[in-house]
Amino acid sequence: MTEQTRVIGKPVSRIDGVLKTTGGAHYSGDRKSSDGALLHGVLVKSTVAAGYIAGFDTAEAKQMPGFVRFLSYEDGDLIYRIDAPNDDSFVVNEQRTPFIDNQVHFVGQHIGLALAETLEVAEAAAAAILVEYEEDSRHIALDDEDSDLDKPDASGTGEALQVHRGDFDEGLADADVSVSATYTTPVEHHNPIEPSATTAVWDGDRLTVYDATQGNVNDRNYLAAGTGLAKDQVRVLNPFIGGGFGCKGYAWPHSLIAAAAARATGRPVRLVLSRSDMYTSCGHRPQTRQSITLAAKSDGTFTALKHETLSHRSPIGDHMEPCGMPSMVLYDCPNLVVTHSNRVLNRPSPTPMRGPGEASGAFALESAVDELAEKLGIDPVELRKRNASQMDPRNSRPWSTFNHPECLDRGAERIGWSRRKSPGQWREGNELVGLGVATTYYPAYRSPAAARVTLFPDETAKVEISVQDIGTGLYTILAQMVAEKLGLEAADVAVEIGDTDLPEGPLAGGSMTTASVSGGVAAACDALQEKRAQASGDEAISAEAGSEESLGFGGDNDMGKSFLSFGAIFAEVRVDKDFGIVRIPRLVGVFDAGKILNPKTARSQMIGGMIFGVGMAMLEETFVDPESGRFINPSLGEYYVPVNADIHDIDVEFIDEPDYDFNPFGARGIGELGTVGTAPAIANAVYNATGIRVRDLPIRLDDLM
Amino acid sequence: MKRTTSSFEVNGTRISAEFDTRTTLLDFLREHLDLTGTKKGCNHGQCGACTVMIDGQRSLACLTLAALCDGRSITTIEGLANGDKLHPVQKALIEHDGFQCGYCTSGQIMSAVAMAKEPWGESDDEVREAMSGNLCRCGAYPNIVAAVQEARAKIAKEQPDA
Ligand code: FES
Ligand code: FES
Repeated sequence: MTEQTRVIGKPVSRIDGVLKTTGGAHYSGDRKSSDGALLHGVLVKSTVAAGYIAGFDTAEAKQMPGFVRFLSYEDGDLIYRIDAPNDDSFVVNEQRTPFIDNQVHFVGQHIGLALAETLEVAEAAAAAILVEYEEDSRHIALDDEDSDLDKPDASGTGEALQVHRGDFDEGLADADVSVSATYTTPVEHHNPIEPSATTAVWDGDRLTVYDATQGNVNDRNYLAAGTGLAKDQVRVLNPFIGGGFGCKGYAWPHSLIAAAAARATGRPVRLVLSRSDMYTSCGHRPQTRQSITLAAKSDGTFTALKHETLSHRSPIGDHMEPCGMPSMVLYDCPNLVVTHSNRVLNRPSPTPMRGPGEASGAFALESAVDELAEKLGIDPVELRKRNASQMDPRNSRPWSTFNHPECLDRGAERIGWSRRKSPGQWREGNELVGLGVATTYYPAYRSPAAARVTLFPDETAKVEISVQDIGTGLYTILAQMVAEKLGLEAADVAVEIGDTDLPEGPLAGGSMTTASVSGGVAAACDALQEKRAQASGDEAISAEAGSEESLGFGGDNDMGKSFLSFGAIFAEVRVDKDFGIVRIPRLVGVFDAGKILNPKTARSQMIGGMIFGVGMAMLEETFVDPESGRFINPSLGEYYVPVNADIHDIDVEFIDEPDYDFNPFGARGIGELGTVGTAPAIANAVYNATGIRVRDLPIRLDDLM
Repeated sequence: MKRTTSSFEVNGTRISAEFDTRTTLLDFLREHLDLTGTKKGCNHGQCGACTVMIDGQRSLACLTLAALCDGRSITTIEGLANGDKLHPVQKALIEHDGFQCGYCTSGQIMSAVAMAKEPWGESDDEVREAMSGNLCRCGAYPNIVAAVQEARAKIAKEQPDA
């Protein structure tokens, strides 16, 4: 494709905009229910962290008019034993088959489902079911030495997690200056505004599930395994998803429980998770404690870096937060140690959350770089530029495009970096003002995807793929891709996604959907063009094609290049001198994410990603009761996410250099890039404003008083 | 389980219905009338996704018992456009890309339509404050503010006395 594009790269408004602004977009919990066909399910969750269920008392629930049935492990044969993680047709973070036995591994585990004719009765029944437990000893604290500690070799994306490069001790001995510090990040929850919801409908031996999932194909395969059906007997529909940020990425037990309940009752079942269910049912960003030592020559050249992470997983989950990732790729440092350890705790299962490992890891690394810059007396922008990895340090391959220093320079210009003063020296009235910077990055991934494209005699087209738009703008991007290739306008292209009966695409995670579908869509359009040349023009013509290409996982490929997006985030903060209140009047993000296919939706996504980082920096924390292992604040009233009044000017710029080696449209992913560097940029700005270094997120008022 | 009967107007249509006394306006709209444009994000009055207008005022449908709406007039997102003609707030939201996943969007729109008639000042900061009861986890806030400002100006121009 030439660089001259007609529709790609234009700020096209979302083609699903009318549906989303008129209430016409139907999400998974929106299926018609007034006809009384549906049963409503409400989960019963464990209230203890470890032990066994000794019995249920359902007497009161059973008396309620409209109550239908209670399901639990006592009906365990309803669900087929899933073989995670060995069944490679699906990925889950929680590997236990729901209801498989009476064991309890954490507070909030699904132990039963109350089914009733109405939601009100199902809720009342679930609340009235009494559970007796035989409790076991539990492990709750990250420091609990009696619980198991894993040291996993590789992350979920195939990245090595225990890395030794060069000789760290020698590098440290060679250095003139070094910093060593420990940084912590708390448990955080994705909290999409749409709670997960599953509506399961059986028709003979076929199962249709409307599910709020970021990966409909993965979800279908999981449901097929858990119901003992073949994949083609299961259809998952998810035309609209109300955000995910990772918690709807892998398949989770509630979907299977709803499917099993519908089979057991012979009725369609709807299970909508409550907001508090969301805290224990579909993962969270785990707590991390990261120790970093970073050393350099007096001219700023890094000589040694050690990044050690302690995090946690549940007894039935396998997620490891790969915090050391940024230390492996951002900077040239000949002597490197990266380690990861995971404590097994009786707490709910963690899962990837927007920038998993990258965001928590970048907070630690990019804070340490700031600390080192201060100690060296070198400008933090300059220090980053001096050490920016010119090639991928993992394998010495060139980056497919490399604009890390350029992003830093442009960002510095936009925020007015030259105004920056020494820590604590910039006062305006009662406010302390500061500027901070951090590098942001995200690996570029690409997975296989197929697509079917149809051209109609009236010169309109349709594209069909089993992928999902979780809010990224994929509907619009697909229309633009097909329009570009076939010489149409985006408005002439109908987009059908969110249905596993269509040609298979990837899950919406790892910021990879756009890059992945590019190959399939381009191939299908090319095949269609060939047919078009021979067609009469009065019949619809259709072509289906796919791309098997998988890139970026484990940093490996046979193209001799590495694919990764860099960027720079700058923050201006104003801190009230007496009360420690932090305001963020301005954030700047400059990103090199390949070709930007739609600057309107891309800008929104970067802004949203940066706001996610504001939450991480300033507000978000799920508290764990150290005694019971319970989450203390599982609600949007007590878990704070940014509100409109917290957000001011956010400035986004793209380098917009196409990466045609990566895919035919030249795009890399953008979903997580905005989030990764934002928290450290803010923390560094707070340091610059106040002279106070906060190493434990979120930054609180009392840290600054 | 106690039941009750109420009648009210929803998007201009009179409704009389018998339902469980525990039914919230939100569940009534969604489960009984299939008006699923109004969303449930928390069911506790903490997210704003369920915002509707009751007698022209914005209200959280999850905190309102349906039985207490007897005799009231309710407007939901489905009742806002005039046929194919979108309300200025809906139009401006599309133009300014004021949503991503769209799940908070009905609530944002109902809130913005109602706030246009409330005594807020003109600045962006006033809009931010007035719209802070409506969470958007996708982080569309700056675009929402831009859209609300444009729509407010348009509404003021079209109905100078309103
Ligand atoms: S659902 Fe009503 S405020 Fe959240
Ligand atoms: S658009 Fe997704 S929550 Fe607002």
